[in-house]
Order: sequence, then structure tokens, then C-alpha cells
Amino acid sequence: MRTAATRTFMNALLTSRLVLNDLALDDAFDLFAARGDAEAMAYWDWPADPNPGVTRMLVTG
Amino acid sequence: MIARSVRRSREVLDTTSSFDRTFVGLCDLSELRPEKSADLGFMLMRRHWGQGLAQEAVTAVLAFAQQLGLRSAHARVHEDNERSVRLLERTGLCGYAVRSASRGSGLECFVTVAASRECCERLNGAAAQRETLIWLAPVKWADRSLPRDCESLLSTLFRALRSSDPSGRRHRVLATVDAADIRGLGTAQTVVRRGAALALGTDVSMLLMSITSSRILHLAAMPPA
Repeated sequence: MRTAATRTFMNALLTSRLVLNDLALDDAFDLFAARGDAEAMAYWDWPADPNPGVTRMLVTG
Repeated sequence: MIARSVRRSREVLDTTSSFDRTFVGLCDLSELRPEKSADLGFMLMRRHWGQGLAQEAVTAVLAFAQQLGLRSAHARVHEDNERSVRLLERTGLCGYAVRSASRGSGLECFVTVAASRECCERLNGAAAQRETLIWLAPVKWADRSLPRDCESLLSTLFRALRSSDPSGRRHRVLATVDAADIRGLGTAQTVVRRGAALALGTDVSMLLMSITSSRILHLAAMPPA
């Protein structure tokens, strides 16, 4: 497992091209672009989200 | 669950202020068992596929999991999801091809992290000695709705293996059970025994093997050759 390329900054995980932050409500709309895509969800255990509201509920728990 | 949004950074790490915050996807750890294990999940928006970004995110989250003190992480992958299987293998995980009768059946491919690589290599060695390994990783062994489904699928697997290879290859079933899940362990034992009995009409030899490095009990059953 390669770990050397990962660093942290202000509770974020940083790689050479990415920043990984805690999932926030602001992410819901963007996340729907993935979770609402049937092809992207093809291998998940549940169907694509039908609308952004469902994704928003997921993010808020 | 620890869920991380994945966003693309414009520059390299040292210029953290330059993140343009283009949303890429999600990578998370769920089913967290402190100091033990977690389930790894990831998804990327389709336009970001094929650039190695998922691997980068997964690598970062697995490193984070190690920092949390987790000893193993599991990723469940459907066998026909070749892109994700390759990704996990490239990330250093040990993978096993497992047939899955249908999605949502409760049995899925199982991948375990390098923490138990020694165990995996030993099992791979066994596989090379004309054994076929089947790993069972139900979402929850203790779930009462699973046993009948598991038994049926296991039975189907045994029949298929026997018919495809009548030369007497030995088949080993490994069911991963959390060491603390006593009820799940009992369920796993029952499922493996009944599944083999359904297919073979006989009982199976069974052993419990404790893998201390990952704190996961591997329940192994080998039907007679």
C-alpha cells in the first residue's frame, strides 16, 4: 500500500491531485451527479438517487 | 461512517490554497469497528473515471484508516466490476474471485487489505495445490434473512465446481467473521455445513483459524475431495 504520498492539512487528506474533506451538506448537489447516475451506481447495492433531495438526506444522515 | 468528499486540487500539495474544489466523488469508511476494521467505499463522477483518481483517493483513505488504528479494511466488489477490482488490486489489496449469483444476494466478492497479506499468500499457496477457494463475505452473518440465501448459493457453487472439475479438486470455503461476532460465527458455521450438505449430501470437515493480525476469524471448511 502506498502511503507516502498522503498528507493532511486542516483535517483534510491531501494527495498529489486530490483533497479529501469531511463530507458536508454543500457536497450534496455535486454528489447527486454521481449518485443520481445509474451507470455510476450500477455496482452499488441500491439504485441511483431519484433527486438531489434524497442525496441531501443521505449527507445529513 | 467517515465519508470524505473527493475534490481535485489544481496544483501539487504545497500550494493548498490553490484548490479549485472541483468535486470528483466520494470515498468513505463505514461499519467502523474501532481498532479493528471498516468497510471501504468509493464512487467517482463518470467524467473523472479513467484518470487514476479513485486509486489515489482509496490509497489516501486506507492510509488514514491505518492512522485510526484499524487493522483491516474490506471492500466488497461485484465480480463483473472489473474496473474496481483492478483498482483495489493495484492499491495493494489481496483479491479473490468469487462468484456471485445475483446482486443483493448477501454474498459478494471479498477483498482484504495488506494487513493480512501473509494470510492471503498462504491461502493462495493452498490454491495452487489444486484447491479452489471460495470466500464468503455476507454483509451481516447474523442477519436472519441471510442463511437460506447463503446456503443456496454455496450449494450452487459447490455443484458448479464439481461438475466443471470432476477430477477431485478440493474446494475450500472461507467465511470471514468478526472475532467478536459470536452469533455470526455460529451462523457462518451452520451456513457452510448446510450449503455443502445440500450440494454434496455429506458433512464437511471444518476448522477455525484465528488470524491475529487482522483479528478476523476465518472459518474454513473443506468438503471431501
